[in-house]
Amino acid sequence: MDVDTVLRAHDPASRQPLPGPDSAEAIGIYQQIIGSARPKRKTARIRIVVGVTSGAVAALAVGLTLSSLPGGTHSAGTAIAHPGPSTTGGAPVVAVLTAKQVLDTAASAALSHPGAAPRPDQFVYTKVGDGGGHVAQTWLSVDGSRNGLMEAQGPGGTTTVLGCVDGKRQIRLPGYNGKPYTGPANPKAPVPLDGPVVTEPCTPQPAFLPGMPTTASAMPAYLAKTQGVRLNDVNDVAKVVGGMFQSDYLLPAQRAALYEFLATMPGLTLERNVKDVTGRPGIGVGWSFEGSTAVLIFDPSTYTLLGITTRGEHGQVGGGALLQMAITNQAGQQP
Amino acid sequence: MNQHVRTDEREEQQQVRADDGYAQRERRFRQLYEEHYLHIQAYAVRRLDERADVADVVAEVFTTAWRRLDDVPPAAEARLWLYGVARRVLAGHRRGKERFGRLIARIEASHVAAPQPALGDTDGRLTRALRQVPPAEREALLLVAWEQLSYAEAAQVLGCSPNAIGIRVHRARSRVREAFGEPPPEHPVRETPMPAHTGGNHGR
Repeated sequence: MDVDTVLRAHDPASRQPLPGPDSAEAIGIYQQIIGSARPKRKTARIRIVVGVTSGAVAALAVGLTLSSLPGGTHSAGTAIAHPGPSTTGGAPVVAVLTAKQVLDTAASAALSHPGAAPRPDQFVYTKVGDGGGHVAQTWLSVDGSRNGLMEAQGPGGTTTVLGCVDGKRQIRLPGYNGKPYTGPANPKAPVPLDGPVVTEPCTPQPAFLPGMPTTASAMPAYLAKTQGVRLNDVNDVAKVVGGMFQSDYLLPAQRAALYEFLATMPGLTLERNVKDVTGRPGIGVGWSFEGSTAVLIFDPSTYTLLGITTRGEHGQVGGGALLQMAITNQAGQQP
Repeated sequence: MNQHVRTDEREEQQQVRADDGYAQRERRFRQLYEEHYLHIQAYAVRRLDERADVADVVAEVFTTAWRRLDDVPPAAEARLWLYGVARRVLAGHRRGKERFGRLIARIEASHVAAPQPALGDTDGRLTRALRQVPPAEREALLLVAWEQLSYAEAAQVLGCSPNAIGIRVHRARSRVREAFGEPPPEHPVRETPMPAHTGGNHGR
């Protein structure tokens, strides 16, 4: 089932004629906004009469205080990988001709890197660039039991990824002195996160998957079972695998097995002289879907994954570049 | 007398400059309005149950744009910025209108609410399926499917990384498929995180 197609077929905006910007309704709104703002002679002051609610909405913006779960130790983080173009020798000497060869070479390269299982109390740190100048840093709990962190530049700010212990997690509601906020829906100032703590059910979501197979043959069943991957859809498979590379910590053998499994998928093409969204040059393995294309991009020297770049049917570029991955002892700790 | 003339001229010049500044500002706003009116209207239509509320939401979004015209990014990014505003306006609209209970209000606040979509599915199956998708994942999916944004663009609207969008969209699609009777994954993939704060700016 193609969910997007079903959604588009039921798009409420395409089931009724919508008045354009030259309609009476649109002109009315425009006049409402502009009319009262137009300066009068002898005064350049601009006044807006309508639309105070947005300010109230912004002021509402109450957040969520999250309970503190036991954290890790306070020693320095351990860097485990710094993806990026290599400028030194020692690269695999392979005449790459096909997408399969790129993936097989990436698998061999993965096996040559050291890698040990992180401790359950540690965090998987990733730094991903989106090509638009934004960089997101993420600290995800290795076993899913501790509070992680996501930090995005610009709009979005900091997000806590709640840990889950014994199927439960705690959150703190907005309010005052342990009592819930009961004021108006649009308060003039942000409500402090000082309300009562409540418990809700949850499932731990680890960033390290010790149960992931280390052979390509076992990978399809595992991905279908745990990630809901549609194995006959190269786009689904490649995107899920690419996403895992960008957010989960994989052991070298798991990484290699994923590449080897991906290499068996039909519909992959070799893409030479590509760049990731931050401009790093690489060699790519691409595929197309619904008029769009996507490429997994590898460092042409080390065959470590640099990221994924997508190109929409109108040429719009998206994707992410993995700039750094490491293990840290605390969420928020720089490796 | 001459002094008065000079003062009048100075005031006149100041007025001309003020008028020019205003005209420039209005020109830019008009362009923004004409270019993105339909997009924002469609965004609101897709997420509101009542057609009558759409004009209010559109008016509020563009009023914010007028007030913060200097903050509106140029070209294609302007639409993403407006979607971000629309999302918050809708969150406030829904909160104010339906008086959610404390629990729901908390969820809405934590996700900077993605309101329930108004769908044209006659048997309500898709609507029910979408209601089973957590708001942050659902909004990511709808931005991609309905607003036809790329992951990078949706990430800009929701203030997170494109990778996070990819994961949310994938998860949302899986949940919808599951609701339609397709086999679910045995172990759910990592949940969409909840924001530690959403104060004042674009929430995640």
